[in-house]
Amino acid sequence: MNMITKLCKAEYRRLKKIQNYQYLLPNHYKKVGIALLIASLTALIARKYLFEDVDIVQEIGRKGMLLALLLITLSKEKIEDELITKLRGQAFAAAFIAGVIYTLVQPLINYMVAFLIKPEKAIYSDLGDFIVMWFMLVIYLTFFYMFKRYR
Amino acid sequence: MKNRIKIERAILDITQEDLSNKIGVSRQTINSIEKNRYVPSTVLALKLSSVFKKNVNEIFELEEND
Repeated sequence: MNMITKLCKAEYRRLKKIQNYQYLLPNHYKKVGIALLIASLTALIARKYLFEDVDIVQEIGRKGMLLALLLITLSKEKIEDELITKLRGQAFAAAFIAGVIYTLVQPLINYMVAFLIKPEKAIYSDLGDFIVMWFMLVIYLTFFYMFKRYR
Repeated sequence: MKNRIKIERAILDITQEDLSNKIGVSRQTINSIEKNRYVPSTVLALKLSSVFKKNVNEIFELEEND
């Protein structure tokens, strides 16, 4: 067997390993995710009303919220069968497409609205990483649970 | 694709819940298959065939638009 064939086979094995990787977490991580989500939301709300100057609370709250949504997203359903796997894939696709469209369109909408209200203060700016990731996770969860409900 | 799962279930006198427990899926998945909203994988079709003790062809049937 020559070197190139060996390399190709090794590459193929690595690819299959990634493709078949079991990325889902046990079902109880959903509860952990929900608890973390509530804690993050509480921190963000508390920051808004109690300690507005403390930026670290906002940072921790935002990161906590993303982690919480990711935990909920990746935790298995009680019965994780092939239909659920299919719905998961469809929801991921929907969230990915919605995320890209949102990233492209929302800054334009923001700019146009700002331009209509106060043209002199209208500035075009891209969305932040937090808002895009948050949007994609929320869209994923919304679609997944809607698909699941009407399966 | 048409299927006879509901009829086969009635012959065996088992509920969707019983069938779902036997083949390791949720009750809603059995319901979706029965209502033709979901086409199961070959593995699941073979599991159903083994429960009903019939060939897959006798449980599932292609329609003209398939």
